[in-house]
Amino acid sequence: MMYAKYGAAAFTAVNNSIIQKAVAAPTASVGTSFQGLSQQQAATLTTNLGAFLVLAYGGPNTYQGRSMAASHMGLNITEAQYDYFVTNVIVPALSDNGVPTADIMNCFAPPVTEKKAGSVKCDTVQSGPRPSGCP
Amino acid sequence: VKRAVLRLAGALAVTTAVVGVAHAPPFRAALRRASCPVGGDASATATQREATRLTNLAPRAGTSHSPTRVVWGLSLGAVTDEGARAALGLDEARCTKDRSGLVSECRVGPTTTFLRSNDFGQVVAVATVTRSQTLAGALAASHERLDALEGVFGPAQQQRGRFDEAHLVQGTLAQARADWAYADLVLSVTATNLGDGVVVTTEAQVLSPERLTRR
Repeated sequence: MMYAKYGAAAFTAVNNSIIQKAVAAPTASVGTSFQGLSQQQAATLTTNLGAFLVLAYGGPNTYQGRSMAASHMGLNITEAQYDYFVTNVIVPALSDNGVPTADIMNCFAPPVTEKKAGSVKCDTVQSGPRPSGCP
Repeated sequence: VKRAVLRLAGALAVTTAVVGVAHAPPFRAALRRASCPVGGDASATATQREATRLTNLAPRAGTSHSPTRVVWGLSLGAVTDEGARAALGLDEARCTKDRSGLVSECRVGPTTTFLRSNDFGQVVAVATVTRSQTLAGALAASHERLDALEGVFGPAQQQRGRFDEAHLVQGTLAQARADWAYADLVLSVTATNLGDGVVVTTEAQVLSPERLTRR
């Protein structure tokens, strides 16, 4: 399990890196949606995203946020926005924090790229054409 | 008098309850739509959003100045959204605006173009996402963009991974990335294997803080 291998401090570093890159990014979902947050909302997002990452990668379940589908409802996230987020936020956040390519491909990739009912991608992309493979 | 006091107390209790319920998380959005201030979680203003974006972009910026700020024929920091769409031949019918009105997303075939404006009406970032169903197609797209940027900015200042088949077929999220970072402009090209035979090429060109503070 990735959480056991890397530990809480590494997950916190990656989480902070994701938030920082997301706010600086130029696309709609990872730009203005993140920037429209108040300090309180940003703090809640950081906490929830961190807890979600820990849960998704084998750590203790402290996630108290809404479901992926509910938390992204109304944000009009398209597949292009999602792909930009994964390629320009998630992957660099992992690389910048020293996660080896093999672990990114074998362990971190599936939760963010799988396309099936209830997957992160299918629940997050709620605008534009449905990604192939998503119900 | 006693009856009046009781009525007043009752009215106060009901009012307090209604106000309390209205400020519960599920109903705050409705309050905001009615222009009611909701303490602690009001959305940031456009100026605050831009300041936050620039603060988070600053670590990616370099120290030297870019040879040009004109990318794709667009003068970032000067061109408007409408002007950029016209210059890039992006039909308005293929474009949508996000809720903030700051980002245009234009989809033409496999390529989606994002035009990001600041609250002064200037386009400060452009990005493309191109989905390719073949590795050869993705490599052709990424090399075309690399060649174009290298022709203007020289070799990438930082590169991770290789823009070739052997690197990208290693697995899902195998990525090649090239970066140029100037004090006034940050550029990147990526090619990423997203699994299921799909490779996504992205290009982003973002005006960085120094350019804007000099405006």
